[in-house]
Amino acid sequence: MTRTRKATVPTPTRKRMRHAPPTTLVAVALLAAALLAGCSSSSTTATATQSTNIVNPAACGLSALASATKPVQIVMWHELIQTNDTWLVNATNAFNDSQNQVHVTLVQQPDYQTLFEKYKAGLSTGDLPDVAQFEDTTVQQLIDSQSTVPVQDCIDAGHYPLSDYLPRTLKEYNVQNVQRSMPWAVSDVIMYYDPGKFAKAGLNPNDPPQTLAEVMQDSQKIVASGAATHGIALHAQPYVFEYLLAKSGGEYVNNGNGRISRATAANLTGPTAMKVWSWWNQMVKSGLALNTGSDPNSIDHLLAIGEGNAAMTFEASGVVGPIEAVLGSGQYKGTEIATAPLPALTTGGGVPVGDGSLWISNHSSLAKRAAAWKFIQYLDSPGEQASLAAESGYVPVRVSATKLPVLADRWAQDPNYKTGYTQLTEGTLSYANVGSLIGDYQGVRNAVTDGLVQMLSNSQTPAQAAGIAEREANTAIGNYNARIGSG
Amino acid sequence: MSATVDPLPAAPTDRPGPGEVPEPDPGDRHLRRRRRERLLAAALLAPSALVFAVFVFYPFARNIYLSLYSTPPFPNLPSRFVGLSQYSQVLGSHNFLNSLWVTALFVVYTVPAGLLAGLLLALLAHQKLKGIRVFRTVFASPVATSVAVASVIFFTLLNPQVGLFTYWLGQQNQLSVLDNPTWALVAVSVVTVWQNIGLSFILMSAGLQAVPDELLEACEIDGAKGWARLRHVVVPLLSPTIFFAVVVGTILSLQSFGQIDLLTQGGPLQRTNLLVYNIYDQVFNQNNEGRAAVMAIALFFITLVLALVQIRLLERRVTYGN
Repeated sequence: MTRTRKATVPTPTRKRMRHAPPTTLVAVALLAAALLAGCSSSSTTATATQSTNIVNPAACGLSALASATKPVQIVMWHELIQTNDTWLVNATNAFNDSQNQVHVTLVQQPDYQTLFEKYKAGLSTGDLPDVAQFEDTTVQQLIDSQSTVPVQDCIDAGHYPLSDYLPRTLKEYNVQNVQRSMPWAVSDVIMYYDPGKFAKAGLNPNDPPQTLAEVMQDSQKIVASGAATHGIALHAQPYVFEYLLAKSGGEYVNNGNGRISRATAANLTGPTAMKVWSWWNQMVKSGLALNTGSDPNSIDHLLAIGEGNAAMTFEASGVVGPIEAVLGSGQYKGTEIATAPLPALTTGGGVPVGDGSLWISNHSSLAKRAAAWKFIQYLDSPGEQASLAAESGYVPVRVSATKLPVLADRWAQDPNYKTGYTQLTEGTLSYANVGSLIGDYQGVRNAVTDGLVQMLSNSQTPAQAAGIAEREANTAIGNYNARIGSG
Repeated sequence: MSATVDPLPAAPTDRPGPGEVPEPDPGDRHLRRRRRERLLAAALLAPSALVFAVFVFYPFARNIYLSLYSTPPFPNLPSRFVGLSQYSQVLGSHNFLNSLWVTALFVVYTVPAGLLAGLLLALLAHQKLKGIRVFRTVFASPVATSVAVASVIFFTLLNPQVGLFTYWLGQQNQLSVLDNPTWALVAVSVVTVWQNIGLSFILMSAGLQAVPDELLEACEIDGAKGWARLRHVVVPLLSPTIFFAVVVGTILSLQSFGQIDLLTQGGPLQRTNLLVYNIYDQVFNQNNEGRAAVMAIALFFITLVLALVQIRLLERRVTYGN
């Protein structure tokens, strides 16, 4: 304080500077920095005028590619790892060697989240891919980011036929009749079970439960017979809840699951959702289900089958290979693995696809956009789709791919690889099972996780837990919508 | 400025003769020298000032700027000025208040426990015994372990399917303690205390070495032994070390991030969502820089106030020898 008083004594400028208290220096520096900050921000605001949502076939750049110097170099970001990565590298090399118009460089990212983070950072630095693989949960965000070319532009420009695609795989990424991205490496959640434990419990191993009520009945027999300590292992993760809800016909958020117009509230306390919450609670509280917690990276629900702690679990179809490798290895002797479509409250429902589709960046030049589209067509071709599905357990997005020997043989040899595809052909398309569009998808997922933990480990009733989750989800949705200036 | 003051600077060989113009004002020379010194000082300070400007002042100012804006989820979209309303919205939110509470609990769980454990081990190791150095090394070893390594080791030990701790406690096939809303923070705190024991032990040991032997001998002669000696002589003499350990421990505790990220990611039910992790989560998972900026400023003031309070309150009770 005394120093500040000293500084007010009239002295020549330099002297005042010299005796200025450190706080003043800091303030001056802050002011200067704030000015800098202001400058940089105004430049970001200036770039904010970007593409409109209207389909514009010229924006695909097919003619620009025809007249461009060849080969056009493009960069693809993906998150396939290990054997799937090897597959993609080989497929890309084959593509690059097969023609001299487009040359693709792959950049591998460790997971969807990191890829999306880097992409968002790139929106301000300009370091962006020409084509990238994004998760189903980020569809609405990518639309809001105004940073992509709808593939509908290219479909229209090149009259690209879509009749061979499995309808559900297209619809997930189609928003109000505009195809935003092309389905590529997709999967869905199915049931994994141990037929050996079913047989031991006196159940027919070839007749797995189709409804959640049957899961409960079968679990009782499994526990009573001692075939496993629990009937089923449930990973308290939102994707399980979402799939059970969708296949049971419940919409996750309002406005037609965000398909009619932007979602503004979650539907976590509706009658269908409440039945799912209650079933889950009853299963865990009665000891029929093993709750393996909410850690998203946990694989304890899968290990539980090998350890004899459960006979069933729910997991994505895309990891058939690794699951078979671990549970079928010598470490878990006597464990067999079979798969079946996901049970739901009722039979006859359908499920949405999850996982990756391919997006084209609107920061790329016209020729690069068209080059990206050419590469997407290659990756989506029946041959490549059959090859990827046979290698990885992803669901082929092309119907004709299933008839090619590479995949048909794989399915005949190991039917577990086919279940994810079969399930996607079932049920009628509806808003409930086409896939939800939510801006803050992760926020809603966090809310559902919190609801599950409240119910399973914090002794809240299903109604209380659902209420907590819905409030939290609504806050997340509202905050996001406000931040992008909608609602 | 100087040109008008001294138009004809005298050459070094010039000596003023008798009856000539008066000697140059000695104050003037002084001024010039000071000016030179100031220039030198500025030149010497410039590099660090630049570093500070780039890595401290600019981010700080940018942070204040961001805290006044509702930032979009994507950096290519425009930010919206919302001013101080963002402060009231964030600082009153359940998410923030919960983080404050959790952070306070975490400090209470970790700082005193780490301090006591370090003091106890230091007292044990402060013996003139053969091979005591081995024990000192062992006690100090956690300091050489990174947070990441410690977290991964404990994560494995606590795993309900394959963990050793869960096996000993008969908790196999139960929900992991890290997934349990009641115990997750305690579990993370235990890992943190273990991590901090090394530093705390080293500080306390150094403090004990500095306690003069004559004093302890005098105690012995006066009949003060064991607890009385510890309570009335050793601890007061250790107080500067303890004070330092409390300040450092609290700051380390407030900055804890690695163990949260690796063990619980703030969950379950945000029960381990420490303020620093929450800020990280807001930026990297929710892309809400504006919100994170408000929390960062809150953390800045909390640290500031805590440091001031600790210095004011504790310094009075500290004995610096003599």
